[in-house]
Amino acid sequence: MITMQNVTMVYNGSHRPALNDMDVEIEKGEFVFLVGPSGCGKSTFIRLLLREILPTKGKIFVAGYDVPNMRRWRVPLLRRNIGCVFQDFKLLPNKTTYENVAFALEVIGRPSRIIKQQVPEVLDLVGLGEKMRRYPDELSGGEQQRVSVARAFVNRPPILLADEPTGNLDPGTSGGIMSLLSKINQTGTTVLVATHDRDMVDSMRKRVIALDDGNLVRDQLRGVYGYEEILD
Amino acid sequence: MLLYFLRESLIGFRRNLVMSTAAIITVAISLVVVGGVIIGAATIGNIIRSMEQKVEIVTYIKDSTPPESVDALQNEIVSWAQVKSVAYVSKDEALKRLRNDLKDNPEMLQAMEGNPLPASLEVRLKDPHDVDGVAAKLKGRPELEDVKYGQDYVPKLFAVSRVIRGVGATFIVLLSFASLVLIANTIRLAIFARRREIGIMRLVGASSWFIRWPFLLEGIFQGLVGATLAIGALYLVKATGLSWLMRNLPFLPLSFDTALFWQMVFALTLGGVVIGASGSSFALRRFLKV
Repeated sequence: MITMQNVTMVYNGSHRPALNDMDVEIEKGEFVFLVGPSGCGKSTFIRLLLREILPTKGKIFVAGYDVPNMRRWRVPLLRRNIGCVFQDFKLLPNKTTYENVAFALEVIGRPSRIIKQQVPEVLDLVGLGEKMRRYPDELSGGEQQRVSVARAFVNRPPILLADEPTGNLDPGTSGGIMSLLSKINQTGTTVLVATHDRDMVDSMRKRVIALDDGNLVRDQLRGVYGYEEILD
Repeated sequence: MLLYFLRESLIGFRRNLVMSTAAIITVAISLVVVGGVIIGAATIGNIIRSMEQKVEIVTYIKDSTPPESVDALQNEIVSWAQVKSVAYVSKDEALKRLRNDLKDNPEMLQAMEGNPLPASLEVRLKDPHDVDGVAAKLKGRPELEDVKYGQDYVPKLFAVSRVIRGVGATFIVLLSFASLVLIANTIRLAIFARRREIGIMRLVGASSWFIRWPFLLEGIFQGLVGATLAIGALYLVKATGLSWLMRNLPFLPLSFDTALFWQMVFALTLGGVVIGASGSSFALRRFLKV
């Protein structure tokens, strides 16, 4: 589902690579944590998958698309296969919960019949069926993140990317979001979560890809956040 | 789908009322200035043209010339390509005109014996700029005594009209450019206020054209409204200002006909639409880069 071969990313005006000779293979239906300290290359990793940036060298395949070599006008098609969740939710403040989620379907041209059916469905899934008419500033942080998960998933994409989804949330709320992501994973969706939430990673026991300074330092099934923590 | 675009652009318009109003006012003011310059240029052009039309060549016929050769000469001149018309003024006709001109000083006429005035041909040209060439041709004729065509003032008139036309055209071009820049800037601000929305649209996989259409329609709409306001303002100027000028300066051949006004309405509307559309697509380019 996601493949990186010898991917190196050097930003303009920088000497050190943000990602160095990365080789990663993520199968369909996997749940993967991408961990590492700030500046280790997690965001670069995600931006490469979304084709927000192009790698300096190497090959990237996502959902069957040859990402660096695809035509520019096809990029939106790639992104319809990837649901995205961010630390800052990225909700539109002047739209209700329902409208925020429906927006994602409207702008890819889905007919309103399907929108009216799918939006309430996915809002029920994330547990916000009762709060469809609320605006983001009337919701708690955890609820806002649920809206953004609903928006990412409403199109049933094969891949869900989450960049620090719990970075702004307290531990209790974070657990709710993580189990939601896990529930989505059980529907067959490939889920990739970039995080430095140590407790979360340790308790979930999923595959862990650890980055440090642009290098892949560990790729472990049923992993924990880091070795140091075990030694402590 | 089309409904979505129309709805989005209307919503966008309402939501960014302040920015949209600013854009519309910018369009309107720019187009009023452009339209005002067009009206001014057209008016000045009319004045110049009517002055140019008055350029004519008067050539006096020697009294010794037999009437047949005068007829032949008149027919020949009419057949020249540059000539619009030739009027024959007989000796009697010339005297009648002089009497009319001098009717307040009859004593001057009494001093005259018989009719000393020569018959003449008044030659009008299709294009007044040909006056030198035609005059030169006439001068060579043995039947003719003298050729007059305002040798002193005609070249000056042409020079002045050339300068005025050039300045008018430059003004129009410069002003159009200035309004384009202003409008692109205003729309850019409006788009900047909605960059979050655009970012999310790109993230969930909306195509570039899908993102572009509502902004384009919004820009076109703003251009249209601005053009309408400008046309309304110019109509008032035409209806009140110009007729006031005509009343008070009756000696100036001021006229601004309806056909020209409608041409201007068309040009300004088109200008508003083009400016709105190109302004918003120019402003969008930055935000759509993948």
